[in-house]
Amino acid sequence: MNTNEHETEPVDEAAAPPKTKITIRLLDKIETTTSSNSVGN
Amino acid sequence: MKFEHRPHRYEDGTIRIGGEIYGIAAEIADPDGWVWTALTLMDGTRSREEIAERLRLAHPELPDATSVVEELAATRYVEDAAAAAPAGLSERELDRYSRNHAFFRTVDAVPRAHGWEVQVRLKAARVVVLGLGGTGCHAAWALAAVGVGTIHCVDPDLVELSNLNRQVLYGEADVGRPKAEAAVDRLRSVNSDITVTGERRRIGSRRELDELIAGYDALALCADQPTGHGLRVWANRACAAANIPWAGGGYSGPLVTVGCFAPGAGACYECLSSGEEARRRPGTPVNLGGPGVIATSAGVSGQLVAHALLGLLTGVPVPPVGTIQGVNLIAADHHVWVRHPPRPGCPVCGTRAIGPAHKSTREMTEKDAH
Repeated sequence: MNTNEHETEPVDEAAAPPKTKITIRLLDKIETTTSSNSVGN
Repeated sequence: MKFEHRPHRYEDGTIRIGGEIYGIAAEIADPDGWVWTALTLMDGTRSREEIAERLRLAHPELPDATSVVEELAATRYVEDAAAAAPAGLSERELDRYSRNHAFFRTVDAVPRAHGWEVQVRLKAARVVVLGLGGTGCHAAWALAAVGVGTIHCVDPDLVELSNLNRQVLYGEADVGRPKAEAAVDRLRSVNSDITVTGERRRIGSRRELDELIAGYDALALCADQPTGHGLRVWANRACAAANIPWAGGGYSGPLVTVGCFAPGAGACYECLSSGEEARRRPGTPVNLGGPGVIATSAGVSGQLVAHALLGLLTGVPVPPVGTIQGVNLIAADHHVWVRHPPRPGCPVCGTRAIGPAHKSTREMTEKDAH
């Protein structure tokens, strides 16, 4: 389950637009594959 | 987006990037859809400015499209499609190492223009492979195949018929030849774009090992003579003094392990082996077991050594420095990962600083490597 949210800094100045943040969450072992089903060439 | 990490969107809007392998795969929550828009625009056909502009048009509610693009571009999942291949690699090498490039690009945890930087580092690397038995043959073959630029092969022995069940560099016609000579011939036939040298030599002292590794960037320790532990202690100290990393591998029957060490980073071999000795039941002989080894156990051993060295030389993949890792080939649930802290006062890795990070980027069983 994703717990990360887009975070937007509050706008308190007219000069610069607020930065928009992205949270990239590395998956746990249990969430990833357990088999290598790719090619073997 | 790197081809291997191209994004996938689930029905709930969550985005998967980095494929499905632990250590790479990741997810991004994207309830408003603008991350997906940005990622699909990042297909290698547009500049950052063009992507930001299109993202801004598609999502006018987005406060700062440029920062979104910059943030995504700074991750391991993105490379610059317009970046030229680095100088120093010929067209032939770009073809020969094309699968290396894709692999390094996939596993690299550091954002770079492209994966060829790793190959360039490998081409410039100089490695000594000490011991050309079961472990050393496979390690040397892998290092040559992957493109380590200079490899020096050292072993005192002649090829014997009983070596051929596992020592992959030799054939029946090589029986009776010096291993160093036969190995050099074989490795040159595998990769003529690198420099391979060799010498028939037995290392009998720490001083001789110091001389052997002088001028090299890393040591692959695949020998067990004069004694396995004693040789590894020499390697530990010699490589610390020379400020270069080293990896040593071996097997005890089906247990195959490799130790990965770098000056100034993590525990050294002597601290790890001391920690393991403390765990052993008092009075247990060090070398229970026998000489049994097959192509598969020797192959895993050598390949693990080579893989550790690739990480030590390039940082890709990130090497497990200061640890021993391995597998038990008869017990699927036994994955080895030995970790102990540096001993206080250890002259190699303890309270005394070794110096700056080793020249490159940055275990052992009780049994031999032959």
